[in-house]
Amino acid sequence: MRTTATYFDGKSAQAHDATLELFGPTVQVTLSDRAFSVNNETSRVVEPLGNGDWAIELPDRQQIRFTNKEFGNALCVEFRESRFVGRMERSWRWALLALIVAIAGSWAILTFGVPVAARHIAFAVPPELDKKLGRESIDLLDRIMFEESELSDDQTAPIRAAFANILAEHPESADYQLVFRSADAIGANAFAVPGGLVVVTDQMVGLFENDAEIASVLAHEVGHLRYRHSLRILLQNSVSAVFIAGLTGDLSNITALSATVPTVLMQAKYSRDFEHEADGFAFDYMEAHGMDMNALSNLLQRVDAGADRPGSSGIGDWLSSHPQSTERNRDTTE
Amino acid sequence: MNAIVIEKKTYEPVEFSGTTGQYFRIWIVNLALTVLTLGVYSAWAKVRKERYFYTHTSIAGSEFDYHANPLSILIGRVIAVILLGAYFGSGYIHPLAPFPVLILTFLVSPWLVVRSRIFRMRVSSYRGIRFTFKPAYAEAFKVYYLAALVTVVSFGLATGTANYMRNKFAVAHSGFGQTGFKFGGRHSGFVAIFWKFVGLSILMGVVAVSSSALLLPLLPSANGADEVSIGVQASFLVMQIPLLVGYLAVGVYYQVRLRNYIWNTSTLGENSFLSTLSAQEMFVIYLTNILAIIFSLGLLTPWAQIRLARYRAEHLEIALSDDWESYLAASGAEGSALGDEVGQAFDVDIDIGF
Ligand SMILES: [Zn+2]
Repeated sequence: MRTTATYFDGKSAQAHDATLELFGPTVQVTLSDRAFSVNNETSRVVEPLGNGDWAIELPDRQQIRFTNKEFGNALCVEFRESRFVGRMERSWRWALLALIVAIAGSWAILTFGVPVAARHIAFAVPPELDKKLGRESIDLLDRIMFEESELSDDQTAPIRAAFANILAEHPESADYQLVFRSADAIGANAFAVPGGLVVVTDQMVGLFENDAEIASVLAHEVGHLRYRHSLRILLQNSVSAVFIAGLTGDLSNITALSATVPTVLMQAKYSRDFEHEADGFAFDYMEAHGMDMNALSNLLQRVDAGADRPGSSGIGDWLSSHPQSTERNRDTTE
Repeated sequence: MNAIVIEKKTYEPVEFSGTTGQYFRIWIVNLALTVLTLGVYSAWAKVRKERYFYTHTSIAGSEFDYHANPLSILIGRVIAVILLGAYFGSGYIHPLAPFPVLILTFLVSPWLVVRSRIFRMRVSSYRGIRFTFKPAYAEAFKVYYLAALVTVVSFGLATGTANYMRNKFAVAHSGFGQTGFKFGGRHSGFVAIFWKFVGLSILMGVVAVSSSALLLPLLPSANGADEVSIGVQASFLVMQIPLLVGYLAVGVYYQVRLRNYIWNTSTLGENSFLSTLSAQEMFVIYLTNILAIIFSLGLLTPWAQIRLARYRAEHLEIALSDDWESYLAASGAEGSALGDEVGQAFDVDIDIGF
């Protein structure tokens, strides 16, 4: 079998006409002034993608390019070049299968694989790491956002009592702490700071109307802490962002904007899942104590109504606060 | 006797022959393999994608080629993931810890830029000859640090100057075989493009804000206390659309003007280039690409990429001053003087945007 081809010596860009002839596992190359042979020990055949040239890559960047498909097919057999991926890439059937695999696979990885992996890693990380981070975080917040609490001991007494009651049922959380801060900038809010610190703002305390509401907020925040949500959200967000970037990473700079849509949607889903998990923890506690199951949603509605700005501030999300949404009404019926 | 010597120039277009149908199959198969291997195959996928675009781009009947070793790209990606992990992870140990990581990344970025440029040029070829990038590390540090300093000190007003410095460095150190590219761009040219961009941005900002204001009465009332969250959040999103589109428009304008200017002032040997991208057309392409990708849930990505590559190729020509064949015959390989073998040991293509 023979074909015409173009030979490049790798030293200049000049094209040399060549004739190739296939003798078993050897290709005889004939140029106008000399001839040599090529085999798969020193060279490899490169199958074209789409309409490109076939190429034989020789040592020292010499190259032979040709377009004869039959010759290329025969050469691949002789050179034992694997063509599996190339075959799939040419077939619409494989493309359809690939489409299903890509969609199902990314869905499974993002909604199942990443959260499970993050949970295992998070529970393997010693809680001491959280404590250190928690101290740094609260120091930072104290400097930039919080003021000393202006509440009297009498005002905080019922909240501290409710907190002690919750911890009493979870001995492994006995070292969690409750602190009060005043924060005009963010208004009524409560945070779980990694490492076992629950922060309640004075403005939030002002909204409490009964013990069930107090317990619902505190238990929700203890739920965030016990389930290591701050570490897990960090792991899930970064791993999913890297994964999505890996899938869409071949977009040009400006079009890459569209890759932020799935990333943001995924992160919103993770955040919602954790809020539900923390709510579940709170509802379990309240049910066991026969408290009003609507307390949390009633309170959150007042928080929403009192906020001058819709949507919550970024800093709250960072410390896995509860977003000010009324979505939690549904859970109470569970 | 007034003999005028007219420079004889022939224009050779850059041709792109990729098709959406062909590339879609390549793209989706590689995407599926990437998912199945939890991302590891993405390096191989990148090589196949680049090879498709390179081998379907040709000048004077000869196509470009791409020769990267997927392992080099994989190593580069592992390094990038480790850097990202250090960035996120350090934030967990101390809220301010990511800043040193950022500063460190900035400090080594000139080295990374040079390394990835060397890699990208070395794995690109035309007619058996590789492209090159000179390993001018010392100059890279000087140029990049100085450009950053100029930008910061001027509060961004000297961005045109910084762009000039960085692009001059990038073009002047690139080459094809033994021939180096020459950078003919002027400082004043970059500064003028930057200020036109600033002027357009201000204009666009005014237009966007006033059109947002026009949209306001059309939106659901934000007064009802019941549906505060969803109604208001949606309106905030809708109001941002004119601003986002305006931002895209001026961004594309800036990119297109810079690209045209850089190509049109650069030369390779006796040959020059003619880039005639239109900012309006590119804006329409980018906008429709983004919308198509979002509303097709990503499935139209191959179509968008092929379309962009075709448009870019159609608007680039090479002005050949003398016989192309004899020029090519004289274009030698860069040889081993550049420490090719040593370089290959450090082959990494780090995908971090700078
Ligand atoms: Zn919460």
